[in-house]
Amino acid sequence: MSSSATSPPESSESVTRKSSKKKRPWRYYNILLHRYQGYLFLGTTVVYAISGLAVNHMEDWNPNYSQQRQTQTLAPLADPENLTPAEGAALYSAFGIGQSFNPENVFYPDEHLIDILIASDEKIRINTQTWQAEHERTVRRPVLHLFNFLHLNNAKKAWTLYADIYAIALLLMALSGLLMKSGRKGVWGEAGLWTLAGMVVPLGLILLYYR
Amino acid sequence: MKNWMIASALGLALSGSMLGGSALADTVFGKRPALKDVVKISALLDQPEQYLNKEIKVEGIATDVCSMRGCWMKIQSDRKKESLLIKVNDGEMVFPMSARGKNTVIQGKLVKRTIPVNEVIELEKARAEKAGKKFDPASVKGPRTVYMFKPSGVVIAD
Repeated sequence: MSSSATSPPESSESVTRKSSKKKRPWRYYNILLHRYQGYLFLGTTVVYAISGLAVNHMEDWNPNYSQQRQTQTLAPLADPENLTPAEGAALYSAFGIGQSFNPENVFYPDEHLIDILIASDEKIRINTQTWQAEHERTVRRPVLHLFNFLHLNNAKKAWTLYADIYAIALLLMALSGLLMKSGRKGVWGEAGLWTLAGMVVPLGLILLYYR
Repeated sequence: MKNWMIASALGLALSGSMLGGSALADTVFGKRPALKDVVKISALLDQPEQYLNKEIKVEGIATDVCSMRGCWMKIQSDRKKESLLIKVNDGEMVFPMSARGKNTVIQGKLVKRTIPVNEVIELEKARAEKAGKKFDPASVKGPRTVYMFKPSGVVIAD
């Protein structure tokens, strides 16, 4: 039996569907690429954008840690290089530290300073000239620290590979966005004008600052 | 449903590859220090010119860490009231705040930097302001030479 005798004849509708599937223009795949990359890398883009804002203003604030400081004036210590347990307890009490005086370490950074390291994130610095003591607690910013850790590639290793993939994806997203404009002029029309307009400010700033 | 499964599998594969590293007791930055001999920080600071730009290894407790960029650490010397500044270019290594109080082993080179007069004045002015003292710019006699350690590898013991 011939195959034409066993298989049902194709309807004109399914033939049209098949042929239209084959004839999909490259712009269709361009839109798919743009769309699905957008979905896939949305989370990473949020991380990089928020961290970018945070680290851009590093001169004005600490994007990774918040530091809580309080200052007290102390009575001069009898022997600054040998704090007694009673002096230590009084010092802790002055700053409301509710634990017994058992610091991780005591350092003498220079002639007039004593650093009492309570924990890696908490210390008291005493100036033996002014007898001013500063208690400093460093608290990691919960979300931003993580975002900056990723954005600045502090992890290195496999994150470098992921960041490379993301960079390529960004490039493809930009190019596929540019090529998305249909019409007679395509990229040479409105899309091109917007692209050029977007380059004006960066170019101006380059001319202004780049030496 | 099928799309969700594909998306989840992709996400899992990506995150799995990122989190693949196992947790180690020590934190290593750059190359793990391999030199046998440890130079005492006091000896290094007594005769810095002798050690300039030579690959050496030092050891000490981290007393302070840059909280902004993690780009420097201060290491306690074996002599009181003395420390060594470990400085990297931004992003080369990022020292964590948790390093404070921990023992560190560092391999690298001692480098010399001359701070220009205007920067010394700024530094001293800021220091005086913090200490609540008056500052006379005329007290700065000239540029200042400082020594810092540029590491190629750091191990922070846990």
